[in-house]
Amino acid sequence: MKKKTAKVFRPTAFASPYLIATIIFVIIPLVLVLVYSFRGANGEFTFENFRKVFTDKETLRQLGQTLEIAAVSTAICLLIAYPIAYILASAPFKKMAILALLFIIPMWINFMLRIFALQSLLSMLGVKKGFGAAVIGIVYDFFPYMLLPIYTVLSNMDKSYVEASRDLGANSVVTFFKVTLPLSIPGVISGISMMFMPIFSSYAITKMMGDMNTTVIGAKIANLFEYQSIGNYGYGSALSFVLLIVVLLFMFLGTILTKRSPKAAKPVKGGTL
Amino acid sequence: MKNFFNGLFEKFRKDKTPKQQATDSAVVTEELKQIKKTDRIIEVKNITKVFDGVTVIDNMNLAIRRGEFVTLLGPSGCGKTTLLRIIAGFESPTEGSVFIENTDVTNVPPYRRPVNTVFQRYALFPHLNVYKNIAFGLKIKKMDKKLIQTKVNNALRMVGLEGYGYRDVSSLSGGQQQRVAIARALVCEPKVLLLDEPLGALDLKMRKEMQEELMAMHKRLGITFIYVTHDQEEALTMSDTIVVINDGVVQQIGAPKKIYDEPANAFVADFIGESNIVSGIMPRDFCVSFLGEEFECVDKGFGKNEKVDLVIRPEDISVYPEDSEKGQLTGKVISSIFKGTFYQMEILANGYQFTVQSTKESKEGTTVRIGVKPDGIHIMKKLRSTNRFIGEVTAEDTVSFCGGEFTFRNTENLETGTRVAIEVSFDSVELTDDEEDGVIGANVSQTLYKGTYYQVQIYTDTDQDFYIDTKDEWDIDDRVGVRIAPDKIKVERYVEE
Repeated sequence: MKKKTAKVFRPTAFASPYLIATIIFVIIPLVLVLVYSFRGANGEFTFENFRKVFTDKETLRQLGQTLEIAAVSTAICLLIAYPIAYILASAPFKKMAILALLFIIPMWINFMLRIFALQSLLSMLGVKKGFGAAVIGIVYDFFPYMLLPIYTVLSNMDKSYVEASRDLGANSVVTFFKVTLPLSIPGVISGISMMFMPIFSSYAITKMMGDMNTTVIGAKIANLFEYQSIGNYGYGSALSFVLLIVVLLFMFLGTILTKRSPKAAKPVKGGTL
Repeated sequence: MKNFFNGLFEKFRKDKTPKQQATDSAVVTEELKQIKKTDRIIEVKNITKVFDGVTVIDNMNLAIRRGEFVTLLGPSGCGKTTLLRIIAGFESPTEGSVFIENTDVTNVPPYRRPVNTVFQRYALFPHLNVYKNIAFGLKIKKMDKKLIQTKVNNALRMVGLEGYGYRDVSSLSGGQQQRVAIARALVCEPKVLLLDEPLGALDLKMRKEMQEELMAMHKRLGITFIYVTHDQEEALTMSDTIVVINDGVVQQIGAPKKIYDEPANAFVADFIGESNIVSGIMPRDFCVSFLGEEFECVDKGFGKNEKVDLVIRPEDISVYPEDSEKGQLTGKVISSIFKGTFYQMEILANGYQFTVQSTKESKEGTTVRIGVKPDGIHIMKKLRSTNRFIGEVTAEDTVSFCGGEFTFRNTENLETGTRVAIEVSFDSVELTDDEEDGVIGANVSQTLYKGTYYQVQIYTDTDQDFYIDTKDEWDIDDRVGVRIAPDKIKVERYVEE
């Protein structure tokens, strides 16, 4: 006769706390947002909220400005971070110490405090609040997220690729554009997605550094939920949902680009012809 | 597979039959042989490379003739790859200079040197396909697109990868990646092809095949190959010339057969093939004494009773039955292993365990006679790093050796009359022009320029040798005085071995 052993736990059982948390904190709120976005002022089913999102000129302008701020700050971050990452990855000194000191330790300070400090600094220097100040704030805050992925890719890159290129007749400049840069694209893409998407939905920095004319879509959503007077859960939810879709689209694009960009070829041991 | 390389020359020889091509290449090879005797394509002079205070290459001098297949052979960490990287231009030497075709290229960047490298891990660009990888060097030279296409296709044919042009490099096997790497380097038509352990990642069968192909390519193209490996068998099979390197110093340069048959020192003998290395002394020419017996040999020109190392290859030892009158030593078989075409036996004789290879087996535990023919014993100079002598303390602060009384620091309070071992390093011996200025007199027997200093060998009136490292130049047969600072003489109580 076979002995039966009672299986108390299946391995998947260990995933249940995570599953429950996900359901409570992610799935249910998402469903609620979806439900609210189809609800009118009196609780009836309507497409009015979505119609308003795509027709309200003010909303579209803010959406455009959000895109602009995100794009400009991401581009500036990339332009600053790439050379620094390149220098750090190729320099012979103690890189990690410098990296930690300059770029990681500031991350331990609460970002609100940092932005307050930056705010005072900028006003001391006479920089007025507005689009420019908002971009400076965002670049300052998100810089490590751009630097680290690029640095990681560059410092892990096999040096022999660069040597092979130089061996085949390419000088340092040609080598950079034909070998180093194409091979570091995965780091650049991950840096961009780590910056662009959070900027798209964040609003605190713009609120603190911007002026009346620089309002981002995140701020509008917050207002719709926050203040009873202009409060409109349905419209806010629809707006959030559209934002979510836009971010997902960008993520999808990023994934495709990363997949198409090169993976390091590993020599196979042995093998036949 | 033998026809891989036909493609590369097809462009120039479209109108010729394969037979004519073969004759042509024979003529070319003949011409090359004439030229290459004197034509040095690469020369490294007094190269020293120090990494973080560690000397990887120590004052190396080397000349490579045009068209040769040269192998840099040595254990890992011996400096062979560093030397290759210095020739390629990836490392700059701490001291010394590199010449390619008599032009100093020490400060020339790699992209302006007429050499190309096949890397250990191939280093194929993962973001480019096979075709673009091979075309990389040509595109940088801004070559005409059609010409690039012809050349790349010829190169692909040469390495047997026709039709693989649009494949992703990561989809290729190790052997195929290796072929692409070779094609990528050769398509640039370098004057010298550098190969850094290119077959290390391949399995044995693949490696053997690639060895043959590389040799065939070398023969066909006629360009110089510099090949780095730690595999002595690979080196012996493929090379025209082997450069054996250890601790950043060239141990021996020579044809494979010469290196195997006549290793310059104990290191080379030990590294190349299996060998029995014994130390002995040379009582006279053509005679060497070791393990308590005297043997006839074919070497001469050593000092009387000079200590030497000698090497006997396992296949040069003959085994006879116990009661035979042949053989010089009696020994006992400790183990015997069948190795396919021969038996490898360990035989203990006169306290030394000989490795012996023979087609006839002698059973474990039996007593046998073993013998070596005179030409089976190869005598090597002992590697010496300091001057060592035996002497006697003659007073509180003097010691006598080599026919002179030198002052020394008697820190151990050695009594007068004690027999002592004396050690003096090469660079602490001072030579004087006037014999009277020295403690003893001596004659210069040999002087060797080592790049930054001279290594001078002198012999004293008591026929003992000194080696001296000095900045000064001395002529052979100069009469000199020898002086040593008291604190540079190391004296120890002599212990009989």
